[in-house]
Amino acid sequence: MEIEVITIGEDKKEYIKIGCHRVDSNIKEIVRFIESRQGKIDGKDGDSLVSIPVTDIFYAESVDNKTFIYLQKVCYESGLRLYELEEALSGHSFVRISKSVIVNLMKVESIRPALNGRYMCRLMNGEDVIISRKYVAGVKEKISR
Amino acid sequence: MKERLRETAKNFFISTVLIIAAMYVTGSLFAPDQTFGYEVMIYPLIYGFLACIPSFVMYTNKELSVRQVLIRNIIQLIIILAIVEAMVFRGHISEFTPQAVAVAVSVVVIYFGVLLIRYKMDQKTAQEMTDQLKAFQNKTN
Repeated sequence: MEIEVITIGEDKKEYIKIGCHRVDSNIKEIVRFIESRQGKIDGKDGDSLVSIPVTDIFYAESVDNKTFIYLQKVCYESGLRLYELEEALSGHSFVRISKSVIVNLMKVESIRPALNGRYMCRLMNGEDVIISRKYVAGVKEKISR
Repeated sequence: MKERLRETAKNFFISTVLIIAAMYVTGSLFAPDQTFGYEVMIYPLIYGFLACIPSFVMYTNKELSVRQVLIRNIIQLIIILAIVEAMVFRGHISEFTPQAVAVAVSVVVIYFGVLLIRYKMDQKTAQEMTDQLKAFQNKTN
């Protein structure tokens, strides 16, 4: 696939156009990546596809090989694996806090100790998520930048 | 392994300090006139080391529930009690009942003292992280 980048005038709206023979999984992945860079992630609400603003996401969790995206009150399933979602959200304020959870730091209200050297994140919607010992250093690094 | 060693080292140093304090208190109560040689200075280190073995061996990277953590803590405490009583009285506990009880109480107090100090340290770290988080959120906004 050839890649062409052209500069357009400030008066015109920026766009990305993909010319392909068919829309396969690779193309969908590219679209998902571009959407995530623009601040949106696809989620599934039953059979319908939902475009979720990244800033609305509280956290994402992997349960039984499925990834779920949690907003303030609703939850959507994601077609991405957790590590793919982590990559897609890497330019935003997200950080891995355990093997199965990535959290939006902008939605964390406070951090307090839990048992066994772990920490508990109290989110702005009142939910609690655990930071595992292994990921504490990563969280510290991210918030001290 | 690095994390396990770091956690054990913290427990070791806190335990050793608390063991010295406990030896001072129990010694003052049961044998105030007793004198010792330099060799006694090694005992807090030995007891501290022995007390850290159960938590080192039972350390796990798995995500434990509150119930699992509590059960592990109780098992560790029982093992530490057995080790320390065996070390101190070398199988003659029945001859020294008040002292054995005092040692057992000391072990329990030290064990929970270590947990409390670790919790306080974690609380301080959590507060620092919360402050850093607020600064991060303000900066990002």
